[in-house]
Amino acid sequence: MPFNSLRYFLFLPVVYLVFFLAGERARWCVLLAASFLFYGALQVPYLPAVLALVALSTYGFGIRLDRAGTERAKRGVLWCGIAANILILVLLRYLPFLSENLGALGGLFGMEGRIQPVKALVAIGVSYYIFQAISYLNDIYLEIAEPERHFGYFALYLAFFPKLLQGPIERAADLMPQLKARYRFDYDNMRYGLLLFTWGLFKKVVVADRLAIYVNHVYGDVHGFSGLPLLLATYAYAMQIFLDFSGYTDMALGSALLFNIRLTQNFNNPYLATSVADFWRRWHISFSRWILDYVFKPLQMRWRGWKEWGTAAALVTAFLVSGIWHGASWGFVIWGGLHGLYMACSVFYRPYQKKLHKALRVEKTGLLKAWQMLVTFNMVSLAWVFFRANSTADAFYLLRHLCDGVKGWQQFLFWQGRSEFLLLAAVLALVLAINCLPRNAGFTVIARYPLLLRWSLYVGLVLGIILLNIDAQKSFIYFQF
Amino acid sequence: MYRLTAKILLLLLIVAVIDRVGDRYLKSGLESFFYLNGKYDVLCIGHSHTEQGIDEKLLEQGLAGLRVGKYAMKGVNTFDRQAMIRQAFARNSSISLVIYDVDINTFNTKGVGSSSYKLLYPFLGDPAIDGYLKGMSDPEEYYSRKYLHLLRYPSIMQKYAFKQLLNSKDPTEVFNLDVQQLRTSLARGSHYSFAVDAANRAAFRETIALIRARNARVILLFIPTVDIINSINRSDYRKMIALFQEEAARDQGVTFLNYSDRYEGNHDFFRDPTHLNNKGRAVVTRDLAGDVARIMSRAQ
Repeated sequence: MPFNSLRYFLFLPVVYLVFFLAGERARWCVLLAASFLFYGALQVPYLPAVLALVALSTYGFGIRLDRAGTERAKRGVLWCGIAANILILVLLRYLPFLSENLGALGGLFGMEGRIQPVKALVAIGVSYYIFQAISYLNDIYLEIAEPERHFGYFALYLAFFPKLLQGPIERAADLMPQLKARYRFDYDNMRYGLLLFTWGLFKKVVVADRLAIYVNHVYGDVHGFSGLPLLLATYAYAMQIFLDFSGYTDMALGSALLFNIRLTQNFNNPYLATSVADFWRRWHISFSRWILDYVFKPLQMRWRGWKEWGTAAALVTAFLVSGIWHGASWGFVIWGGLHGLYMACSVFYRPYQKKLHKALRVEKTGLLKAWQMLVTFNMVSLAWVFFRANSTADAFYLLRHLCDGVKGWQQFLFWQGRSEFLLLAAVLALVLAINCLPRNAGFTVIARYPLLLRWSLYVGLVLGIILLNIDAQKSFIYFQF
Repeated sequence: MYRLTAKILLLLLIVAVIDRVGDRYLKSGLESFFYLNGKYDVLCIGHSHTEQGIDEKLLEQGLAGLRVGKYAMKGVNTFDRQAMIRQAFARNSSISLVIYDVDINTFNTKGVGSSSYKLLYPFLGDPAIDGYLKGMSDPEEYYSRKYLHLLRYPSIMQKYAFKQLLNSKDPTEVFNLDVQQLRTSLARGSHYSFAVDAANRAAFRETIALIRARNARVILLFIPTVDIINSINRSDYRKMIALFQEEAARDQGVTFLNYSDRYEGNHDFFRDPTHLNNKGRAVVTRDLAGDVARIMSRAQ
């Protein structure tokens, strides 16, 4: 059930009402049942079963981990738990990719047709809650968190519907206490929650989906374009994916806030980052933290003897994992590899970069910051090409022809008409400007506005969604991951 | 809790009022834009080829005494047009000629989207359109638009409505086809295909029969598309032309006019491979006026 569907607009208030009317002890049951209902609404019968299986097995491994006496036994249980989760993930998401590539490899050695390609399965949300499950086991192993004894709360921690399909990837220590806390109606939470939800919806259906029309026009037939239109479409995609995903996250955060639950902020103006490392501190924050804590840091520790080379190798590996997590295709692998490469290179050039800035006397100047933002945005956008292109061949074609002049830019910008382009530019500027305000400041400021202005904004936002929504692109980009 | 509920209800009430008022305003613009409330003798119906390729005012000037209406929107397929023609006839009994644009994709839905029926949502509630929309859409989509009227207006329909309401109907954008880019694109694998789908052809024939049952004549008009794409598969293109000639031969009240053969080589007439620019639009409309006048005088 996507957040931008009529079913969800009916589902959310009904769940809230039942939750509100239910007794304190039954509230977790209401949320758990609602979460499974929400997942079941995708009409893929095995998905709720997979979620239940992951919940049961991880819960069991968590208890066993706590009871294991020796370090060796603990480590054994941890790896079994991780392996079980990864096995489920591989079976659901990576078999088609593996079978296809192994089949191609077999063909090189004269074994054509021995390995049959496997059909892809729908795995919406699986990688998110499996990553949560792995982090839960790791945190118990590292004694950062206690194992949860109440299976209901544990299952709810994995399945809580606002973050089930696209995250944020929550840590047990952050979410579990909130799920267990006594519920009291909070007017401000309700108001901010509803406003955040509506704002996220606006970002998705008015701006991101409008950008998608331009992006799909070019990326659907890259060979029909060259030069500036390709570059503009790439920038447009950078904005589209940000607004699509951050819009979803706002809706998730807003939904959860109705139940007095504060989910992790997943975005913090990522395109204002001054380096790729900074970008990853601002983009998909819950996921970056996961990769940092559970992939990069252990590898860096293991390879610390190789000094900078060890750090660089750990970075490349972590980002390759990140790429593969996004999907089983070479495009995602290259995307992850590129980010890994950016970061690995920075390990070596950063000391010289600092010296250069000092020599040029541009340290901490606005000009340097602006330049760094521009460079970082372009590097990130360049990597997005592999993320979005229909094939790696298309991506390489696009990169080769990115600088082929400016011909055709008017046809690209105005192919939906000048008025449509102006509307897009206006709503994009509005959203980005509001986004640049300090986190949540926008909503705090609105709360202080005079009644008439405040209500005009509310009504304008709702009418904007109704009137300016784009119907073409229903699903969120990050659904596929 | 009560305070918040009251505020939400008040907000919904305000939105509902604006929704109804906005719907009336936009609908009035659309009905004028598509001549749905006017009386006319010649109806030009079709998708973007007609929208951009026929200037109804110029056509009317060329047809002394005949009034012209145009009901064309980007992307409508054969099935949508059937509903549109029903609607037009239900509102206007004086139509004596329908100019129906045809092209290589008339008998399939490749060239236009499969969700083009959504363009007709602003007319939800019109008996000629209602059943068609209900049959095409899922309940969630249908009922959300039934009760939330402003949801019925996709951006293109808002654009049409505002063009009319703000009196800026004349096209202002002038583009010329980039022949070099098109050739490069085709050489790199972009392609245009030709196909005939039985259901589409049946719907097309039903539509022609529907028009003829109202004693109106039909012109099947092939608005020019550029020779570069027509010649990708010239034999298939010819087959399509033959199919339209065949349709015309079945009934004396149906005429097929192929302007594509006449103007496909005039690259300066096109804004893109399948759409005319202002220059091409003026030339084609003048030719059409001459042909229509001839056909109508012969019929009398």
